[in-house]
Amino acid sequence: MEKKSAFSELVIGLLILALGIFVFCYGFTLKTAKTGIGAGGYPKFIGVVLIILGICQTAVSLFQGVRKPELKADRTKVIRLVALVGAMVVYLWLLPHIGFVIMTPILIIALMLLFGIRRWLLGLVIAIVFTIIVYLLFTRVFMVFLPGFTLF
Amino acid sequence: MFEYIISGFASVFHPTSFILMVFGIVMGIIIGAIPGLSGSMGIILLLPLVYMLPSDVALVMLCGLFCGSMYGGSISAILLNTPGTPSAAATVLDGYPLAQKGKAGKAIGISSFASFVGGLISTLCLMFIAPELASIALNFQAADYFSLAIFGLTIMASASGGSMVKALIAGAVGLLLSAVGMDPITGNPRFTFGSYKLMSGLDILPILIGVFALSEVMVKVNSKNKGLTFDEKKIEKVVPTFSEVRSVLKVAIVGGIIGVLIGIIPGTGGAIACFLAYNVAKKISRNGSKFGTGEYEGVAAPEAANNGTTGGALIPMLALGIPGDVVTSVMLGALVLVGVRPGPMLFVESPDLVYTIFSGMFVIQFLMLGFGFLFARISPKILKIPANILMPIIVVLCMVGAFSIGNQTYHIWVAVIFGVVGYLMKKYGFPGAPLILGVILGPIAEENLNRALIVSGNNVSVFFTRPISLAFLLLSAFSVGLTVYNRVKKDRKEA
Repeated sequence: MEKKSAFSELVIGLLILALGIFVFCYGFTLKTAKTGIGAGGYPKFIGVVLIILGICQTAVSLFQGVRKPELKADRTKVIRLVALVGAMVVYLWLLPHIGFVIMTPILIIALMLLFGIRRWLLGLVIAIVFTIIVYLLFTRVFMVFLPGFTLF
Repeated sequence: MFEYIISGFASVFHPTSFILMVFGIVMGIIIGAIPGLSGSMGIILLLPLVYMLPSDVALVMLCGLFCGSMYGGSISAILLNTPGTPSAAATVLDGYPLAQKGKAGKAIGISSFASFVGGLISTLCLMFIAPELASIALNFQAADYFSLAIFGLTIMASASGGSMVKALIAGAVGLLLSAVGMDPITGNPRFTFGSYKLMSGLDILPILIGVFALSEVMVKVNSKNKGLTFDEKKIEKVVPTFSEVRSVLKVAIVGGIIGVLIGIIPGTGGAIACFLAYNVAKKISRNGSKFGTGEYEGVAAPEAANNGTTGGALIPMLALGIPGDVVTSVMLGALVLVGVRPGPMLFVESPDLVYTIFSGMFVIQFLMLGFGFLFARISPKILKIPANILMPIIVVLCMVGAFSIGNQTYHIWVAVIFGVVGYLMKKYGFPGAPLILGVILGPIAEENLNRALIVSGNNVSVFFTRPISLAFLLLSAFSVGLTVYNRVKKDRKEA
C-alpha cells in the first residue's frame, strides 16, 4: 500500500512557512545595529530557520502524496475536550470575582463528572477537603494570596 | 573538593533538606507508579513549593523526585503489565511474568536493589565527570556557546523519535517564544503587539505547566480508564536474599554503566537505556534464553539502566546547561526559576551547591532502596487512585502553580493556552521537550550570537574557525544527517 501523509501534515508545513515569513519580515521592523545582531537580527535568524523547516515539512508531505482530508471527527471526543477547556476558561474568567474557595470545588466536581466519576458524594467531599487544604497551604505557608470574593 | 563534599553532606542532612528530599522521593515513587504520570509532571506539580525554597533544598528535593519517579515506573510495570513511565517499558517483559508466578514482591525488591546499583554508579560518574566537563567548558567563548545551544537543540530533536523536522520546528518555535518581550540588547519590545504584560517576556513556568501537564490531562479526558488493580495480599516476600542479589549483580552493574552512557547523550533517556541494557543482559546472562518468562536479571538490567540515566542526564545539564532528557529539561526550567543557571560557571560560582547535589544524589540512592522495599507492600493501594479523581486535582495544582508566579491569573491563562498548544503538538506528533529547550536556550543563543559577532566585527566565519564551535556545528550536522539517513533507510525497507 502506498504510504501517503495526512492533509494536516501539508497544512502544518504551510503554516510554519507562513509563520517563518512573518517572523523574518517582523525582524526588519526592529532596530538594527552596526555591529552585532541588534533587536531584529535574532527574529530574522529564527524566521529563516522556520522558513527552511516549513519548506521541508511541506516538501515531505507533497513528496509522499497527500491523502484527502478526513472531515469525520469523533464528536464525543471533541465535545469532551471542548468541555474540559471550556470549564478551565469559565473558571479563570470567574476566579477573580467569585474567589478560589467557591470556584475550585465547582471546577473539581465538573471535571470529575467529565472524567466519569460515579461516586459523586465521595467526589464532593474530596473537592471540598482538597480545596481547603490547598487554600490553607498556599495562603498560610507559601504566602500566595489566592483570589477572594470581590463581587460586593 | 573534600571540604565541599563535607559541606554538601551537611546541607543534605539539614532537617529541612532531608525531609523535603524524602518527600521528593516518596512523591516521585507515587507519581512514577501511576501510569500516565511522569517525572516531568511531578516536577511541575512541585513548582509552587520549589519557588519558595532555597536553591539547595529545592535541588535535592527535585533530584529525589527524579530518581523516585524512575524507580516508581517499575511498580506498575511489574504489577499491572503497564509501565508507569516510558523508562520502565522493558521491565514489563520479565516483571509481569514474575508477578504472574506469584513473585511480585520479589520482583519489586530486585527492582529496588538494581535501581540502587544503577543510581550509585551514575552518582559516582556524576561526581567525577561533571566537574571535568565543566572545567573544559570554562574555555568556551561566545561562538562556542552559540554552537552548543544549536547542538543541544538538534541532538534533542534527533533523539526525540518521530519526525525530526517536527522536533526541529518545535525547537525553533521555542526559540521564537524566548524572543517575546524586551530585546536584551537594545531594550526594544518584540512580538508584544501592544500588550504590556508581554513586555517582560513569557515566563517558562506557565509554558511548562501547559505543555507537559495540562496537555496530558486533555489527552486523558478521552482515554478509557482501564481500572487495573492488583491484589495486595499477593505481595509477600520483598527483600531479596543474598544469593538472589549475587545472581543479578553483574547485569545490574552493566545496566547501570549503559544507563550512565546513554544518559550523558543529550536528548536520550531511560526509555532507550532500558531496552539496550535488557538486550545486553540477555546476551551476557547464562539464563538469557529464559528472558521474557520471568527472570530476575530481566528486571534488574533495565531498572539499573533507567536509574543509571539519572546521574548521566545530570552531567550535561549541570556542566553545560544542556539537559540529558525530558525530565532534566523540565528540571532545568525549574532551576532557572530559583535563580540557578546550570553551566560551567555554576562550578566556579556555586561549588557548594554543586556538591550538595552530588551528596544528595548519593544519599537518595540509599533512601530509595529502603523506600523501594517499603512501597512494595502499599503500592497496590497507590495504583487504585482513579483518573477521575486524580486529573481534576492535577488541573487545580497546575492552576495554583501558575498563579503563584506573580499572584495573577494572567499566568494561568498562558498555561491553559499552552495546554491547548501542547495537546495539538501531541496530536500532530510534535515533541514537547525541544520546545522547552528552545525557550531555555533561546536567551543563551541570542546573547552569544550577538557577542560573537560584535567581537569578530560581524564576521560569521568565527563560528567555523573556532575548533570547539566547529566541532559542535559538525556534531549537529552529523546528528541531523544520521537521523535523516536512518529514516530514509527505514522507509526504503518498508516500501
